[in-house]
Amino acid sequence: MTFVRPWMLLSVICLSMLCKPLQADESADFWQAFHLGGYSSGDLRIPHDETAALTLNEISMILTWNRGERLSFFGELELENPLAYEAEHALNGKRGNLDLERFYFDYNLNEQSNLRVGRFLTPVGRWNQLHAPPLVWTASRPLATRRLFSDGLNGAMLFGSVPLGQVDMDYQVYVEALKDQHRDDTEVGYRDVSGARLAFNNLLGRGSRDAGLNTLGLNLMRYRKDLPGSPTYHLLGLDFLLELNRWELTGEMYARRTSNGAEAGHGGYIQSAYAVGSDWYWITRLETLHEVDSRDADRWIVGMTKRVKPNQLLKFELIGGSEAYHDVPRGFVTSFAVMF
Amino acid sequence: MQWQAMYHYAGWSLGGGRPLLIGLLLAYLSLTMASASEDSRPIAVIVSAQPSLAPAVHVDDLSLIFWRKKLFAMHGQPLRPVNLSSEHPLRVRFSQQILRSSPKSQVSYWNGLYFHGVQPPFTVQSEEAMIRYVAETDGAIGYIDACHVDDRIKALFWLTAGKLATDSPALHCEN
Repeated sequence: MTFVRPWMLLSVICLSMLCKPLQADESADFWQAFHLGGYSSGDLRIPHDETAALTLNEISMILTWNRGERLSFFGELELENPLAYEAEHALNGKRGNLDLERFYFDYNLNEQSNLRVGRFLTPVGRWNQLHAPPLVWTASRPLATRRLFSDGLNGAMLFGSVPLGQVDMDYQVYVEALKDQHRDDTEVGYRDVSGARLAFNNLLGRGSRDAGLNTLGLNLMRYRKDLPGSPTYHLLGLDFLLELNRWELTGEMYARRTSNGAEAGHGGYIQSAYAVGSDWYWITRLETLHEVDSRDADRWIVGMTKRVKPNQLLKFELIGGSEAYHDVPRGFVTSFAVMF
Repeated sequence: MQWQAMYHYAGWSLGGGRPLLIGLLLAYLSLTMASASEDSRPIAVIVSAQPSLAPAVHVDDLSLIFWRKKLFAMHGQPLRPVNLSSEHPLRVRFSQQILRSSPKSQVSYWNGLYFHGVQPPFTVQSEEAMIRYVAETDGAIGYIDACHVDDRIKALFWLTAGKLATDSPALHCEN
C-alpha cells in the first residue's frame, strides 16, 4: 500500500507551482481542465487443476488536466485485486494493492515533439501500452509482453509523430531516471532502462470502404535486471497490427541478448480477432516464451469476445499449453471490462 | 373507377403505360445522378475566417491532426479537429481518404487514445453546426461539402476523388 516516491513529491510541487500564478477569474478554467475517468474489470476463472475464483481485478481511476496549453498532466491510480471470492477463502480483499500506475507531465516543445516526465508505461510494442482490460480482446496477457521488459518506468521521454508521405511515423525515445521504488512480488525488477520505438502507420495505404488500420513497430531497448552482477541486456522487438475486412491481426516478437552477445531469451505472440457478426469476435492466439534462467512456455487461447458497447467487452476464453503461469492459469475464463 | 381518376389527377395515365414508365425512369435517373453528384462533390477542409482563430496547417499533417497525434500548431496553438457523426456520408468519405479507415473500425483506436488521456475529435451532427463551431473556436479544423463554404470560414484544402489539393477545384454546386 505504500506508493509515495520522490518524483511524486516533485510532481506535487510542480502542480502547486501551476496553481500559484492563477488570477481569480482563471481559477474556474483551472479546475474545469480536470477530467476524471477510469476502467474496471472482473473475471471468473475455472482452472483445470485449481479451485475456481471470482475476482474484481482492478478499479483504476484516471485523472487528467489539460487546458489546451502546452503543459498537461496525467495520473492513473489503480486499486488492484480489491475483492476475490474463492471457495477456500470466501470473499476477501487480501490481495488488494494500491498502485500508482502512471503519473506524468507532458510538455509540447514544437509541432513535432513533446516531452514527458514522470512515471509512464514503457513504450514497447502494442500490448504494454494498451493493456487495460477494456482495450484488449482477452483476459490473459501474452507472457512475452510481461516478462521480457519493464512495463513502466520513471524518467523522461521525447515523443511525437511526423508525416512521411502517406505514411505516418510515431517515435518515442525514453530513458529511466529513477529506479522503481516498489514492485509487486511477481514483477521482474529492471534498472538503467533506455530505448526507442518507431511505429509506421498506414504502410498499405488502403482507402477502400472496408479499410482498417495497419502499423509496423520497431523496438530497441537496453537495461539491467535489478540483481547484483546483472549483465546489460539488449532487446530487439517487432510488432504489427493489420485490419483487413473482418480480420484484425496483431503480433509482437522479441529477442534479447546480453552485452557480450549471449542469447538471453525470446518470445512473442500472434493473435487474430475475426468479426463473426453482432459485435462478436472469434479470438485465437498462439504465444511462446523462452527465458534462459526460467522455464519455457507455449500457450494457446481460443475465445469469443463481445463488444457490448464501444467501451465494454465481455470475454470468454479457453487457455491451454505447456505451462500454467501465475497471471491466468490454464482452463476457462470469462470476464467483463468497462471503461468510463 | 375512383382510383383511376385519382391517378389522372396526379398526372399519371394508366392507359398510356409507356409515358408512365419513361417518367418513372427519368425521375429515378435524376435522383440517382443528383445523389452521385453529391457523393463525388469535393470536400473542403475548413478553418475559421478569423485569422486569430485559424491554425496554420500543412497538408501533410491533416491525418495526424485528425488522429489526434499532432495536438499543437505553430506557437503552441491547440489544434481542435471536428468530425461529423460516424454515419454521415462526408465523415465516411473523409475518413476513408484521409485516415484510410472507416469510422467504425476506429473504435479501438479512440478507446486506446482515451486510455492515454487524449480525447477524440469533437463531433457535430450537421454541416451548419460544423461551420459554426469552426468559425468561433480557436484552432478548430473541420470539413464540409465544398459547395457550402461561406464567409464565416475559410477552405484550406479540397478533397476530390482520391486526391487532397491545395487549390480550389472547379465546383458544380447546382444540385
